[in-house]
Amino acid sequence: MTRTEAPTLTYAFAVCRGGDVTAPADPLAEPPGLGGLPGLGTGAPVRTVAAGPLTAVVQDVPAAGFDEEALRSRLSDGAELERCARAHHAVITAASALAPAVPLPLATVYLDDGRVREALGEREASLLAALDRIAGRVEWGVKVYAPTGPRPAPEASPGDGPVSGRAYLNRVRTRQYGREQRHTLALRAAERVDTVVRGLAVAARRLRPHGVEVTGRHRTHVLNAAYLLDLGRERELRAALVSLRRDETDVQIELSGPWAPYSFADGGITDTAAAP
Amino acid sequence: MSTPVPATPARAAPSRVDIDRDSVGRDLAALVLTVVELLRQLMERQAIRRIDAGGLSDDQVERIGTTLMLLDQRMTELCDQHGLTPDDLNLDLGPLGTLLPRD
Amino acid sequence: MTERDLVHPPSVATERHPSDLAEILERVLDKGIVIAGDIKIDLLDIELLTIRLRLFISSVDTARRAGIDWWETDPALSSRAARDTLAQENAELRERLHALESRIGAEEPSTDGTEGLTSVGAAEEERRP
Repeated sequence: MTRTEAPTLTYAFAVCRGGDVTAPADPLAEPPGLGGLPGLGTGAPVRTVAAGPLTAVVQDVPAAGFDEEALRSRLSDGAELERCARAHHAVITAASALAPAVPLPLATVYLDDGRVREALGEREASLLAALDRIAGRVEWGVKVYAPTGPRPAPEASPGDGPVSGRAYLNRVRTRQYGREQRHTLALRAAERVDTVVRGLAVAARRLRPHGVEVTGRHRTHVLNAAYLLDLGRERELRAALVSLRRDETDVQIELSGPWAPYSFADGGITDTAAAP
Repeated sequence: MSTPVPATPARAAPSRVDIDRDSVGRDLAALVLTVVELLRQLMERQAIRRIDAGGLSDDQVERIGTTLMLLDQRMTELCDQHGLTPDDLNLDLGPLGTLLPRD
Repeated sequence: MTERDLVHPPSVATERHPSDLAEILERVLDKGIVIAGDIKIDLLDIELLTIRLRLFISSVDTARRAGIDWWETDPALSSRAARDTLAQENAELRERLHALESRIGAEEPSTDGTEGLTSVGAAEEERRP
């Protein structure tokens, strides 16, 4: 590294089996190789670093913009976080399209390629196991929502005459009860949805429900789950959802995917369903 | 993904530019009233539980109900005074959901 | 049939559905960390930061604009304040040390004077991150 060049760090996106993805990939190839991707937009190519049986998909990033303090500041800004997350996701998705790839979390940065090789070496066994686990499989997201209740009726205007204390309490009780009922029914429906989709999956994982900025005020997020399915079960999955939507009238069901196997590459923390 | 990422991150900009005395008051009031609203809802829940457990006279039930109703009306007035709606009185705690139930 | 047929790259459409971003974030920010990088940045902090921002954006932000910002100068609450405090302490200590050494230098011939300076310098070198 000469004095005239700004120092760089190595940003890692994903890990594949060695030989599955090559570097530098031909940007003119069909389907497009990794080399044509902008990645984080630093101008450096998306490339690979090999270490034994594994290959990491990486990109050079300027040290000034990606050291600890800069990263923290960058990721604390909403717009920047979105840009980085989408760029990160785009590279992982492209890699997954070429070969089984273990996605790495956002902001996995190494001092240089040598450190990447060391890290791959240290975790070789678990990474190979993860690649075995996800090969030939994709992730699907299922989200179940319950509609929020009707807005409470506006308080009686003074002209209607006084409402008794007891009547007021009865109104409150009815509203609370309605809310609890809706919640219970929604949870039961969500459990049924989960059971059906697990039946088609080799692994399942619960994610955190989304907040109101994402769901909107008209509904609450009751189930947020990720499922790992064999390739080729997509049609069964979609058919299952058609039936579920028909049967489960208390809730709204959303399907997203296919995703790269983000939720299933973490070395055995997931709970696996017994596939039929 | 075509938008390039800047080499060094810009300082996170403040979310609002206008320094409006009214909005300062309104946001602080929203926080305070949210806590008050939480307490009010807890009290209502507790009162109903107590009444359903039985053993209270009609008079006592009536008095509890009237008190809570007046408290509810007072909350509505306080919100109006600060230009707030009931929806403004919630706190989203991210993974913990919202502080107050969203009906 | 290969994977490439079935994992579609995200569309470059400009319409951004909010839940689409939420789903990307919850996946890329996942702390089921497979391997940890050299740069220690805790993604949990980012998530907590966004929660804290939601909780306090109306109080911290507006309070600061009203001139209330004491937490920014409290070393216990702000790393910048802590560094400033440390830098100030360092400057004061150096001044005192310099004053003491000048006095010692005036009283006796300094054979060990320079060595003393070097070892202090070395200690300071170690402390600097």
